[in-house]
Amino acid sequence: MAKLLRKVKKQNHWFKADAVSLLEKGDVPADPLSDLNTSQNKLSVFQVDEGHVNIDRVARALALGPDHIDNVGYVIFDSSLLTQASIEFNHTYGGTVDPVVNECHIDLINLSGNKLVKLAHLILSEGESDTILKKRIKELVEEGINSKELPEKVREKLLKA
Amino acid sequence: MLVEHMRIMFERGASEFFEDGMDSDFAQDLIHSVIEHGSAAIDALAEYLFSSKVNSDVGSEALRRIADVGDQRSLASRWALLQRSLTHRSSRVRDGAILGFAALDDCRAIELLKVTKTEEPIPELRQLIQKVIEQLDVKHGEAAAQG
Repeated sequence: MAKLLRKVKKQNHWFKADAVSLLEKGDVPADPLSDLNTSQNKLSVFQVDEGHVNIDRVARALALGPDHIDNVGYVIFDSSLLTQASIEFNHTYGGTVDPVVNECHIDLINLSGNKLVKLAHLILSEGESDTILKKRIKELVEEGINSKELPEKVREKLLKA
Repeated sequence: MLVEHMRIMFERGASEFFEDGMDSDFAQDLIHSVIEHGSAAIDALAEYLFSSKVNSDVGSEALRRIADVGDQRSLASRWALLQRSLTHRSSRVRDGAILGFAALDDCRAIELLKVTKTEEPIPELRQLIQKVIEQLDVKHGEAAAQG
């Protein structure tokens, strides 16, 4: 079963122990929902597959989106949770600087408030969260430039980090 | 005066949404304050962090950011505040302190973090501490290899 990755603003929104009392009532804390911000009722995730593209490569590409290179927090969950939340999806080309990562982009579509809350509940219950530290991200970016997986232009961001 | 300035800064910070990799007005104000006032600014931050009025997201962001200040004069007081915050009642503040030690990237924190890991109740934070320890172990090994 494929795993899906969503970059989050801060991993500390997703600590299970801090959410457990609300999860037991069928509810979720509000802060994780700020990491599931939609546009046109769509939410961007990336399929992670050790045989194709790994977590480090996706995280590296996503780290190059914000103002500067920093820690990258993310949640990762089984794609079967989408069925449980009645969420539809489309494979679409992503907008990162890494074309291989872009091939793994998925839009969750036709989302509603209830579906997002259900998804957050499922991720908090059955998914995982993690952070890749800034120093490791910088190493990954350097490796990506040297191996030509990333364009030379991202070196500017590396130098500022 | 400084405490009042910091209080206003923290109150303004509470209206911001912090995100890894994104600049924030709060972080810029905080770094300027630490550069200008040194340890006095860290003392004011400590007073806020351990007060009943602390916003844990602001506190977490502050700890993460004070590690980025390259000011040697205030290093001891920044280190002391990060160390004290590793046992803060808020998991988010502890998260900021752990990430602060990752940003400092100073091998002298290894033993401290090993002890903290045994006492940390949140599994995700124990995992994060382990990552920081591994980062510092690599640096320590590289330093030893260079003699």
